[in-house]
Amino acid sequence: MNPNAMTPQLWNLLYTDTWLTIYMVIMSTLFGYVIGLPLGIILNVTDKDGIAPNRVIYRILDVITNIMRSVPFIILLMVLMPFTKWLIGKSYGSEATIVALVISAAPYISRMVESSLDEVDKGVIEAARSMGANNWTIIFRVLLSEAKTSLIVGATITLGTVIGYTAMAGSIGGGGLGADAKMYGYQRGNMIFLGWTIVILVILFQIFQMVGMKIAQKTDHRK
Amino acid sequence: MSEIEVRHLSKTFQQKDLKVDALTDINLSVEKGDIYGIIGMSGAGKSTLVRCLNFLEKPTDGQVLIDGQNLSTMNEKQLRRQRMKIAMIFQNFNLLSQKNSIDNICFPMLIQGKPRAEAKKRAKELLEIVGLSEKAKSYPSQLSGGQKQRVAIARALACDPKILLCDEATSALDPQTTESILNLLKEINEKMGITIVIITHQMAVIQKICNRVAIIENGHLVEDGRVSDIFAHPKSHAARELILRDAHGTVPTSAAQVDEIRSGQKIRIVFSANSSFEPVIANMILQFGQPVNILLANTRDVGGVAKGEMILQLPDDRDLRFKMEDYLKERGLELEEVDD
Repeated sequence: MNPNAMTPQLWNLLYTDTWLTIYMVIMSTLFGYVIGLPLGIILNVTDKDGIAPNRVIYRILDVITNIMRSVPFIILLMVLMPFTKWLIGKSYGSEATIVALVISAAPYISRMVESSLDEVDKGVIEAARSMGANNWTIIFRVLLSEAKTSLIVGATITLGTVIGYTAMAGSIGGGGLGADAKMYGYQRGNMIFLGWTIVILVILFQIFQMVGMKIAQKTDHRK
Repeated sequence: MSEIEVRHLSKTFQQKDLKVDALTDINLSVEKGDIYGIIGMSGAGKSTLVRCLNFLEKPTDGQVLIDGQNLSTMNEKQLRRQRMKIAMIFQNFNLLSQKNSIDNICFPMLIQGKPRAEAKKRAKELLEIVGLSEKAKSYPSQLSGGQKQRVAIARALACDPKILLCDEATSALDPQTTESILNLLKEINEKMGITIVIITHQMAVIQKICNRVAIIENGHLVEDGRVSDIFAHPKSHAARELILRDAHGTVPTSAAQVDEIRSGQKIRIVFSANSSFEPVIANMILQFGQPVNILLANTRDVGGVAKGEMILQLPDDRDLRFKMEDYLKERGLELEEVDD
């Protein structure tokens, strides 16, 4: 049999695993934000120029974030296996990949959020303070609202990065297109199949990018 | 009781091991209904001073009393409640860039917990007061500088403040827009009885709408009082400097000319309304048979009264000069030597 043949089973695999990949990317980004967004807010707020400077909290989070971000993803995946197993009962498959992705994306997201919030005009924050706003009001009604566009751009970039990571995770025991590319494409020498996984990943990336940027543009009233 | 009373206020900024005294022993009181100007060169400390009035900056020493209530003894929560009664507008307007005019004006009301519908209704009224009803749905990026400041003023009025602090509110605007914003502030002061404190580096702003003024130099309050008095008899070096500099601002003057005016035997004369009938200078020249050099002549609107101002270069002869000065004083003119 021709090793490059695209059987109906392979097409089917591509179809289901494309959805699996989308699922993993969206879920990990979502949970990544559940952790990363508050972390980024705390980093921004406790920074020395923030609205509630706190050296100790800032330094602790700063160091943790830096350590997490400096560990290459592929190594983090392996290191996290016992933790993932403890958390969800297994260390392979799409759920396990999501756990690893969340933990690696969260610090990345927190930095994105921190710098987006940094862009907010200090004068506007001062104006809010002069109106008697407390810190919670400033965070939710000034910082997050003013940085909306930049936050959405950040989320779009994050989605793109996470697509890449998903494929990588797939190759060492995760599910989705990355796993398929390795098993059916690389190991069986099916170059056509391998090519298709690339095409699909590129298209996914483009769609996320386009939709994200469109939403960002729509919400931008700064100019 | 004064609306705002500042007692022995000092503010020191600690930068690493460097101590910077931004303000030193400031005392002033602003009465209800005043439009009180605080003027000084950039870096004089006036922006820090205005931020001490609502405790955005906490003074290192001294007290600020608003309506007799001491801000230093308040906790954060009480301070926030106090700030709701002290509105503020800024040089760079500081509007929320992602919200339209109406939502910007609603913002302080929502902070205070006003229902949204009620806030929207009030915002529309305020937009009408500042003359921008047709810009309700516009975002700040679609407005001109003057329009942005009008929205900022509407936002400042949203919570019925007793005091309005203006931090260089017209410094980013062209002269015409400045004029219309100042007129609006005056109207607000008269119709709503809101006490206004204006920080500026432009004497023209003070002259136009303030009734009282304090002059700040290097963190010290060097002179304060009624605007008309200070304009006629500036006692401090800083006041003279500001009045003179501003006079030159009205006509393009080279640096060399300014230097010439600042040195030598120069006097500055201020004419009040009734002294302009007699041709004093011409008569003086005829009487003494000696020409004088007119370096500058100008008319200014000080609190609605036209005041003439002139800088003369007198002859070098001491005796003659004293005689000329006496001659002018006898005719009821305010005069002072300009010799920096």
